[in-house]
Amino acid sequence: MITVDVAYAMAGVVFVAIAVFSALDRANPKRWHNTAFWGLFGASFLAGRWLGDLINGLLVIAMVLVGGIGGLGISRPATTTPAQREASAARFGSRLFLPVLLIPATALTGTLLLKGLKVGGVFLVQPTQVTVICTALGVLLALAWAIGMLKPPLAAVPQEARRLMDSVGWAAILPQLLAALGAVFALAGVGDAVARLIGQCCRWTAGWPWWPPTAWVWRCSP
Amino acid sequence: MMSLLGIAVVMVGLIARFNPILVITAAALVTGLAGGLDPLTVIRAIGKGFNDARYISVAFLVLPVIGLMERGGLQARAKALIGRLRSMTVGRLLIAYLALRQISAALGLLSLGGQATMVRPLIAPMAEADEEARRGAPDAPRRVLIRSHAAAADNVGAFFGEDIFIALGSVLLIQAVLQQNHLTVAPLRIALWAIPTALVAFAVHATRLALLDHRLRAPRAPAPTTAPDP
Repeated sequence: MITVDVAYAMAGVVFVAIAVFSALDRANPKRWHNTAFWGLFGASFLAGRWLGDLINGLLVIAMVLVGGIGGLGISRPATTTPAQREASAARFGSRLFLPVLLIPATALTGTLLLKGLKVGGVFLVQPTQVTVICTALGVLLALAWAIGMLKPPLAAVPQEARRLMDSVGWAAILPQLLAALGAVFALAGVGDAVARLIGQCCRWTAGWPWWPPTAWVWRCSP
Repeated sequence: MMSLLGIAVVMVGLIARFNPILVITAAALVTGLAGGLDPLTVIRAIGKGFNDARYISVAFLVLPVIGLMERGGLQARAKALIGRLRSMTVGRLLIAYLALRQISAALGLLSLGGQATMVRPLIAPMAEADEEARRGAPDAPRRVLIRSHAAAADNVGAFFGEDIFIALGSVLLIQAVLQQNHLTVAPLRIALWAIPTALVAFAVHATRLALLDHRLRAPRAPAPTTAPDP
């Protein structure tokens, strides 16, 4: 079975490559911060499954300290000039959209075709993460197409990725951090606490005949 | 009750404009400790929660492709295309994208759009190009305003569209939570009653986008922001 670990490994390789190119970037005064941040993020993707919860937690805190207190630099790796881009756009025309659109197209058709597909009694693709895995597949195809079309120098692939990732910066880990916060909320019983608080408000206001929500809240409460 | 302190940390931290990743992490630590968990358990929970959510960040995998195509003139091409549509305005373009995103999400085609796959490479450059064709190159605050509206159109469309498709996570989550609280509701009914919300959301957001056009027409630049021009 192809599991989501394949997509995680790909992402890990990309982030580690970004970390390596960050380390080589002397123009970025905070290059070691960027190296540490993207390196740790890459480690989380490559090895998160085996590191255990405690090490993963410490890894998150290290990333937060580097990104939140140390701060990341925004790199400006060499890319094409606006004039070169105009010339390239005129040359390739709307074909430039095709590799980009191939990614959602692959994610979509892959999800429709591969979900539930079994080979020899085993799911070919991990059923719970088909879209994520197919997105990764789409990226591989699109990358091959883009390289074939534009024939860039090979270092351009990690460098362009670094240019965009650095513009995302520390915010890259925000969605996953919010998910972690949700997990802690669930563990600490925040939902129950909110429910109790609202229950107390209901009881507190129950004696207020002039308080319009009271009747409504009582009617709705189980 | 003490575990609610974490929510206060989030509110105060974000209002005081501290770095959000610091605020969220501090809130997680405070919530856990105030809720009576020992520090190592909290760190383990953070680690597990973060690790289990890695699938969200797989979206960043598209960036090498987007970066390469930008290098090859993707945004220049998007601008050239939109320049030909004389009657198109920033607001109309984003309303069209909002409708497309909402309808495709309602049909279960959630993976067709997204910030990294559609907004950054296509929608935002088109909106900016439109503004440029109309009133010249936008200054940094205007540029940021247009980009953030392009991103918001994607979010609003996806959020208020996906609830209509019964087999998506959001509807199943609503059903599961209600089930835990002893309310049995069929997914189809949840999806059905998401439709009025979706229509209202479209009307509200389309109005905002129409107002955006109005705001962009005003000669004075919108309120300055501190955001740099990336």
